[in-house]
Amino acid sequence: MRSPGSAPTMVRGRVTRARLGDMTMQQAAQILENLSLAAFALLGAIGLREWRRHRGPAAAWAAGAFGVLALVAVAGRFLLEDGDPESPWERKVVVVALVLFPYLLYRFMGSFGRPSPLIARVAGALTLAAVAGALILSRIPAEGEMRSAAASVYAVVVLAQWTFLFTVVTVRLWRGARQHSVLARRRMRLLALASTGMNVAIVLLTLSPADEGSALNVALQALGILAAALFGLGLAPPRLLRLAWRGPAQAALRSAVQDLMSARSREEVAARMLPHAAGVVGARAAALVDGAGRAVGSYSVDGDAHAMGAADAEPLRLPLRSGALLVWIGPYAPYFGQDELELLRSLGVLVDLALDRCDAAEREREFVANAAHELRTPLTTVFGVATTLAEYHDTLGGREAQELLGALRRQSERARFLINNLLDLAQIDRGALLMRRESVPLAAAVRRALEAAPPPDGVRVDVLIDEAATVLGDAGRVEQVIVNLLTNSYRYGGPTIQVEAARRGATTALVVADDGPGIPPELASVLFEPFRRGPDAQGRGSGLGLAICRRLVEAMGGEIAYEANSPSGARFTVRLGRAA
Amino acid sequence: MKPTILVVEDEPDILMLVGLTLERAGFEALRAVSGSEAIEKLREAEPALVILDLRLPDMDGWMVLEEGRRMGRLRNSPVIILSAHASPSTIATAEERGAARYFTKPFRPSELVEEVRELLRAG
Repeated sequence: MRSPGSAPTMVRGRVTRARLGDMTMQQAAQILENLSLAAFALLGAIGLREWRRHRGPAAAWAAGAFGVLALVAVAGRFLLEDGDPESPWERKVVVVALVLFPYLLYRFMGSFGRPSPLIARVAGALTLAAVAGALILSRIPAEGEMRSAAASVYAVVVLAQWTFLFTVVTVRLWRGARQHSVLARRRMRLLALASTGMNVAIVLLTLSPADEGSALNVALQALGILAAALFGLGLAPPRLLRLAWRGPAQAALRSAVQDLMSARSREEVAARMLPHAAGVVGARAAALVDGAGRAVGSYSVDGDAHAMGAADAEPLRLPLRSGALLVWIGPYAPYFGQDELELLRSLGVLVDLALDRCDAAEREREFVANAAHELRTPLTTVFGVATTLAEYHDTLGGREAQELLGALRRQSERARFLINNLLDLAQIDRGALLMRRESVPLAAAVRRALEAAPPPDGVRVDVLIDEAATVLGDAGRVEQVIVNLLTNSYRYGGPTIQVEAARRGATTALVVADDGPGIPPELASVLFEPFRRGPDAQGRGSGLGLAICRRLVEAMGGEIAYEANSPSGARFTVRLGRAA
Repeated sequence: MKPTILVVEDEPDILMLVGLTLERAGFEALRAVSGSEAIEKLREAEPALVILDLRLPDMDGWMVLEEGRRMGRLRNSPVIILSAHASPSTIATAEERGAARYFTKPFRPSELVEEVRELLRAG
């Protein structure tokens, strides 16, 4: 058995002696020596680069582990060979670095999930013993040297430390890989294989005879280089490999996109997309929540949607414009599955688009249902009067006939008003409305509006507008907006309505305010959407007035806003550009 | 004596139309435009039948029905629901709560009156 001090040879690969006539093997060993130096130095650089890219504890531990390994390789090559053979410190530093490597790798593992207390204690104790031994031992024998009993015991401690830590790393990585996406799984298993390869190489090299030109030694050197290559591939797979391993995730993404296209409701979006979303990142469960945090839908790989709420699991949250996508991924996925998480992010953008589309379709369905519902009331009277007239026309008294005809006129007018408003709305939405852009004197527009919609009995309108006040817009449409706001105030406001205008920078603000009860807060946010009316608005108006106001004002380049009036009532402000 | 029918409907023109048709058919029509007015009328007398709109400005039709029964009225008088909602769930609810018939707006007034006659004859 060689001393642990010879282990760096695998890393260092310096051939010091060779049997005569064994030149080929020696040459091979020479080449491998240079190769390993390059491989371990490169691995150290990769670890450092990954840490600079991704940061986080896992990347830091990995950078530390492979940095230390590179240090062993470089120091072993230049320090030990060229240094003073009698100086023990250089050798000690290399040995300490060598026992630190598996420990740092083990800590890298630990950053994904705490190992059991027993494992943690054994790992700590073995590493402490190995480091302390290196420092206490008077000198660590060089290769081929005879060793003291203490040195032999120390060699056993180091081998035990290496084997224990590498086994823990291998088993945890291999097992942990199960519940991960293909890319993450392959990367983790590469690292597991590399750990085992490294362990076998070091242990056999330490146990084998000190003949460095032998076939076994050369094979073990090659195994070390292979392990370094596997570490490198697992740590930072090259682009081509990533692309190949991302295949299944990309296929899941494609299916998700196809299914998203045909989803008609938010629930359908969730039901169709979630299984694919889980597939993309290898999650065991996924859920879609709306802006208020309510679940729109959820999916679980084992079919039990409740299991995802399990206490052990904190999901990864991918914010969307309209809520969030939650995925319950394995602990290693954020580090090893970054590529797939990227894919999931691009899916998130498409989910947002699909949700927007569903919301628009839903609004349209709701609009049609509301419009039909609104038309039902006047139609009930029109239909009822028509059939009554048809059935009883010869026996109806004059007063009854008058009543029926009055109702017929009122309700036909109501239906006509509603239909006109619906058509207006459709035209504005299509952008088909012809808008003139002219200087509109506000005081005159308000006068005309008051003529078209005079206040009912018991309601007073105070107009405080400077004759010089103007806005830029379409005179007819400005008047329509004022009529709608006045009518709204007549219906829901109090006995006094104030109409004012004020200059605000480059705009003129027209205010229609009343002293009624005001608008309930829950209605205020949806006030300008079609068919949103207060609970006591029964049968009054079409429910389209304010929606039309907003669209008209916006089409004229202005804006409309509601605020509560002080001390009570509603206050609508229309802001339009001012004529020069 | 003419049987009394209570008509609860917040749309004045529909109320007029139903009342007029009932009176022509020989009934006495009591009119209410809100839930509270309907309860007031119920307090005064027990009608032979109630025609009830579900969407009222102050309360819904179900509350009128409940309050009426709590007052000891409407235990035997049939109730006809008049509603703009034609969803199967609303119709099922009406059946559960003991409504005798369900009319969806728009409806033919003469058919409504025919239904009233039939229910009273059966009662």
